[in-house]
Amino acid sequence: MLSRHSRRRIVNGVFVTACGGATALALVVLALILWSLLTKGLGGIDANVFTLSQPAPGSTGGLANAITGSLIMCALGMVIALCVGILAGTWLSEYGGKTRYGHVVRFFNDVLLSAPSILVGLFVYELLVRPFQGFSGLAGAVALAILAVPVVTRTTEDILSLQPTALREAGMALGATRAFVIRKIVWKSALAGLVTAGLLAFARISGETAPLLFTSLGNQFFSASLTKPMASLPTTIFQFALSAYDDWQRLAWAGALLIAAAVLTINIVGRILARGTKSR
Amino acid sequence: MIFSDDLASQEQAITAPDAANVVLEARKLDFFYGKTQSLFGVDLQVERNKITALIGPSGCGKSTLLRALNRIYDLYPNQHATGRILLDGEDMLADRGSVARLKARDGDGHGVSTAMVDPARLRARVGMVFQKPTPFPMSIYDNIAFGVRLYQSLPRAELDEIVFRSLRRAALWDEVKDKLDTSGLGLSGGQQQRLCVARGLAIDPEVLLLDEPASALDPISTAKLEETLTELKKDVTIVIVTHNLQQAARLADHTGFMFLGRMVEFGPTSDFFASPRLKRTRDYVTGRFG
Repeated sequence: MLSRHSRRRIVNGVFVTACGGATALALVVLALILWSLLTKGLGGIDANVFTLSQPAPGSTGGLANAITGSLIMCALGMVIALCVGILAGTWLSEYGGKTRYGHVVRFFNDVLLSAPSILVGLFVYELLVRPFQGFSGLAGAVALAILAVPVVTRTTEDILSLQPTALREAGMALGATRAFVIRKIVWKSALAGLVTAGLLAFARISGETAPLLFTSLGNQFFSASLTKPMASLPTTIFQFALSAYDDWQRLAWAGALLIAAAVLTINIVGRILARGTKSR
Repeated sequence: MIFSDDLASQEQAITAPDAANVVLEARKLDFFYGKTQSLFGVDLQVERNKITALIGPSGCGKSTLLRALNRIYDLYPNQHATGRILLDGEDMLADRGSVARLKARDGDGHGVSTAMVDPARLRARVGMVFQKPTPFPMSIYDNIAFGVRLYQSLPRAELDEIVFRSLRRAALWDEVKDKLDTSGLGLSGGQQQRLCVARGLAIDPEVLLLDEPASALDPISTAKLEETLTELKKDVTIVIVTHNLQQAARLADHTGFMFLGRMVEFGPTSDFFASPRLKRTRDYVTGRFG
């Protein structure tokens, strides 16, 4: 019979190996995805990708319309989401979070956080597409905003709750009103965290396809008009990847690589900013 | 509560300072955290331009009393005080809820006006420094100017003068005069605490409340802070909560000993430590309990 000590050592070894193995598995999957993106996407990336719009099969073209559309819709979506989300998160953290109503709001925010994005697309379709009888970039931006709001709300609340109570009390002790203390001290002290929250939400929505299918639809021509259908990288990838044309499929890989690279960059920047605050 | 009735009969020895010199006063103050009562009819008289120390074991209510004196507890909806707090004879606790509670407790309102007191105005007159230093995430200069800018918009030269003077009064000037535009977060703990004192002083309060201001500081920073406070009492009245009995003995003109939410003994510091009148106080200051 094994001594207690050696049994513990074996259990410990098995446990550490299992943890290490699971981590390795996750990393291998990620590496494979990145590898296939790089090998298949890198070849498709050239100047045309950024300057020309979507081609007819067989002719040269790029993703300029999709890139522009994605940037416009994501940016507008984030502006809406930041306005609503930061205010809502502030309310939850500073004012009503402990009330019954606050708990209800937090619960539904969490539900919204995991709502299927295609439902959000359908909701906006009923709200902004059908009544105005047309797909539009604006509808796409609103759909993305609805996806980002719960993320921003939640992270804002979490980050503001981390700010020391004494900081708020010190501001109040000087005779400032609560709202003033929140705006000038609490927000300021949480700034890096809030920027990170915004960046992560931006990364999250930049790859969303489903909510755009029923709202901005997609557009094979270059258009910056918010009232017309608008192209976006995810919907273009979706369309091209399913097509039978080699050059379209190559562009789909290039677009996928672009999104992945952008999301990766945003995440890294977010991490650096977040670390910057901690070390202070 | 049976428990509190028991304590009501507990002996008290209060030697109040000369009434003519009292600037801040609590009368029969009860305090509640939700339904839990943590102050029971506390009386406190703070003499002008003196340092008053509050001592007592953890949880005795000394910090609660301090937090009541500038109504910082207002931040939390489930905390409330009943009784009176007078600043220069003016009732600072008067708001609708408190007057109603006072009438329910004592039968009449003691002639308290029902005019609402603006807590923000009160806090400008009664400054507060906390246990942990709380520099705002901005430059040293802006930290000090923060409170001033709340009340008036001054030309830069006048603001400069107030900021510089406050830093000098808090004995921080020499250490920071060359880096006023750097972040207040970059200072050492002791410097941050004196920055908070300077910030409180900048709005010219009549009273400065300090809640264990030295408990997070090393001995040298503590000595510097104490020196600053002694210097300051020329023009500010100071109330300090401390766990450190030597600190109370060194600094304070009056000392109050609190126990289980009551003021047990209060008097001039010299008498208080040399010959406490109650056994409970004697046991505490000689380290027999607490």
